Amino acid sequence: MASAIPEEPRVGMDARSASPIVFAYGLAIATFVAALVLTFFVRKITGNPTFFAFYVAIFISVWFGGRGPGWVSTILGLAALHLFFRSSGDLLAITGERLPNVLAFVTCMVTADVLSTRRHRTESALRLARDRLELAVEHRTAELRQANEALSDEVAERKRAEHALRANEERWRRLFEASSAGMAIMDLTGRYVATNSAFQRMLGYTDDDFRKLTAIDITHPDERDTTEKIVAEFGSGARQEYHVDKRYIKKNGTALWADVTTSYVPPAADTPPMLQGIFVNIDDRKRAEQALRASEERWRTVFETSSVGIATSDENLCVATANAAFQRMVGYTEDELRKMQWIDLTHEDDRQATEELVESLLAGRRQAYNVEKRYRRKDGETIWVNVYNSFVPATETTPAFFPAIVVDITDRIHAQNALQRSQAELARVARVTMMGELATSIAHEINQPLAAIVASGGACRRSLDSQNWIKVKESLETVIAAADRACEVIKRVRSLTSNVTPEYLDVDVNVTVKELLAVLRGELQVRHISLQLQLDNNVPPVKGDKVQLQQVVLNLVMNAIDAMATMTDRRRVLTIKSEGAKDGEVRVIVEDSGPGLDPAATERIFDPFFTTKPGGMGMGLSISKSIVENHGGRLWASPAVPGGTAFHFNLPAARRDEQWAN
Amino acid sequence: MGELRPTVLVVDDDALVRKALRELFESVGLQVTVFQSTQEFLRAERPDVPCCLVLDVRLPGQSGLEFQRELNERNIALPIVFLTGHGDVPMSVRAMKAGAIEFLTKPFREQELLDAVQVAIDHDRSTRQDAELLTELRRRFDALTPRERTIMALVMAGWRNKQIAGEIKISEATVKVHRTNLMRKMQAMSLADLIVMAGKLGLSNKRSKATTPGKSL
Repeated sequence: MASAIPEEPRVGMDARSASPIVFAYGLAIATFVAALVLTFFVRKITGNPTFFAFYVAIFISVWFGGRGPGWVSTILGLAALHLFFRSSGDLLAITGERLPNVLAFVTCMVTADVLSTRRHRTESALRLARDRLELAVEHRTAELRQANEALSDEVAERKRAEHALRANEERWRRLFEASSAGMAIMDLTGRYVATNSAFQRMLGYTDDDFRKLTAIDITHPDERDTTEKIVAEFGSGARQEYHVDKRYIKKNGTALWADVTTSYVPPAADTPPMLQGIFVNIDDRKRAEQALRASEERWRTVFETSSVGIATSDENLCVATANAAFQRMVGYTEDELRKMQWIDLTHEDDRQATEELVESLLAGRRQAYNVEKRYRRKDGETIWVNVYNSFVPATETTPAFFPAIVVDITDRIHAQNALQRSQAELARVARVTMMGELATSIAHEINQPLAAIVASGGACRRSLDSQNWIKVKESLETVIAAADRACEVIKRVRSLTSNVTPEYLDVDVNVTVKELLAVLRGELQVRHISLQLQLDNNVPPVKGDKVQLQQVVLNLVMNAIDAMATMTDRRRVLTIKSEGAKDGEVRVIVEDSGPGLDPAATERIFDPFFTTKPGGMGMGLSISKSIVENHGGRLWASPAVPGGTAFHFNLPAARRDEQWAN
Repeated sequence: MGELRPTVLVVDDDALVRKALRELFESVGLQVTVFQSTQEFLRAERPDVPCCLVLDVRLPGQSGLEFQRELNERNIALPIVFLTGHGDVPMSVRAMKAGAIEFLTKPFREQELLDAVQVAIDHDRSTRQDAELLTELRRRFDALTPRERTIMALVMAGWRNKQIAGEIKISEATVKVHRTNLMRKMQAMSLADLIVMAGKLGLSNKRSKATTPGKSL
């Protein structure tokens, strides 16, 4: 409003605003010219100049142009008076004659100026007063309008609020109804006043049903007391809010877990105090939790009560957990174990191998390993264990760890050793028995060189008598050669009947076969069996006990000999082959040209006490098979071509790194 | 017989044994020929001197005993000394019955073997002499006329000259002439001598059985 009040000087200035000075002075000059023309015109008519027109021009100039133009007009008027209407020469000289005119003009000018000034002043004051009045009116009008607007705003606001209230009410109702969480309003005794459909669905009661029930009525019997107490606390104002996971009994009688939040709603102007409940069905979650807990409990029980040792170690191979069985096994408590490195448990001799295996787990070369190795108990005793170890890489929730399942197999190893010992003993007995069967052959093999010794010895003595030194030397050499041969036979026999524990060394199967022939040659001769040796000189050595392997070959050869015993229609040929098999194995084949095996018998030949030979014990092949299998090999029979039976056995070639194979 | 060194023939598949036996027999001045197998032995030519076969019972292919039988079948009369690695009684009995000189079990005593070989060589020598004598007798016998052979047979059967004359319908004097001739041809000094010769020729029993029915001797 303030800006609406015009400033004083601007009122007069407005009319001449474009170029007020040019207008003012132009007006002065124009009126002067007009006055001059008029004066000339009057003089021409009347012959007598009157200067009235100049007064008018001055007055107009002053009145409309202001003081400056007034003076211009005055001076121009005086100049015109002098120039045109007086004859005297000097333009500026104020003569007596001219003075009245000058005074008159000046007086006129001053008068006009005074009048003009006064009028202007009055005019300004008037305008100012009018402006002020207008301003005040304007101001008042604005106030009125404002009040009016505020009033209508208030009306709209009220309408809006009313509308919002309705919408809000609607929203809350819909929220209440549509909420997926169950909602209910109860009075302070716990009786349901209103329930939403989710809550009705959750428990299977209708709203009407609910209205006849209290929170206590539908609570699971186990939790009714608590609920009763809580409702009472709400009633007495001791409690404002309660949050609990509890069970309700559905209308159909089954229990349901719900997450319940109950709040006290204080009384309002037109509502009594009440309780509001929000119910979330957590039955599934609760059951899952229970299942998880049960599972966890079960696993923990398994872990704790397992007779198998279970332990975990962290990434740095420090023991993290160990179950009771493991603690009993190694004799350390879990606390003691936690201070130990995993490797400390391992027997010194097995540590390097274990470290390599763990290294391979960490490097990802394998996911798990299973190894039989030794532990050193706290009391220093060595135990044998079967360890299943693996590496579980870190996840978001758990750091990386090694879970190990450890089974004490000491008893088994001992039993196994005992079994091996008795097997070895049985094998030895079988060998000795076989040697008995071979006695004739062996005697022959020894008698041959002995006969040679006797003969050559006699020859030697006679050559000495005749001093034939060349003959003496010759005979002595024969004696020595024969003695050597006899020794060799004795050595073979002794090794086959000796009672030494099996020794696992690198064995060349070809040498094994050839040495065995020292005790077999005689037998083959007597039985008129020709021998074909097809030994591959390039087969690698195998790891095994030479005597036991010889026993296998011996047994197979004896079987072959027996198989051909009754044969008269064909040549009796015994073939012994050695060859490299796939996977770096070595195969030995003992083949006869006999009648071949009865297919029914083939399945049983490796059974203990099964024999096709009269007087046979039925242990030979059974023992041979267990020997071969103890060496990590296989023994089997197949028909030979063109007739007869071939027994094959494969043995793994001796390798440096085989002992810790998975 | 000094002009011919007796020879020992050795059949043994064991080279060492062959070598030792050769040394042994050569040390006592015997000629030795060794054979690896019976086949090799049969293929070879046998020396015409007193011989002895030293044979291993256990030979590849054919056993010593079988070979002995084969030799008998082939009428190869050779005294055999058997050697065996492990003798058993039935085997030795069979060998001895089949005409073996000795059956020695390895290891034998050196002298035993040498003695057996000596016996065998002597045996062969006498066999060879007998064989020579027989050949001579056969030659003499072959020189007899059929009438002389008939009379010889009857004489051997113990018939008197008169009986013989009656039997073959000639005079007793003629019988005497024939008898004198055959005694001369056979170079028999006496009747007993002739009977021995006939025995060697294998005539006596056959003839007497055939010609003396109903006649007690």
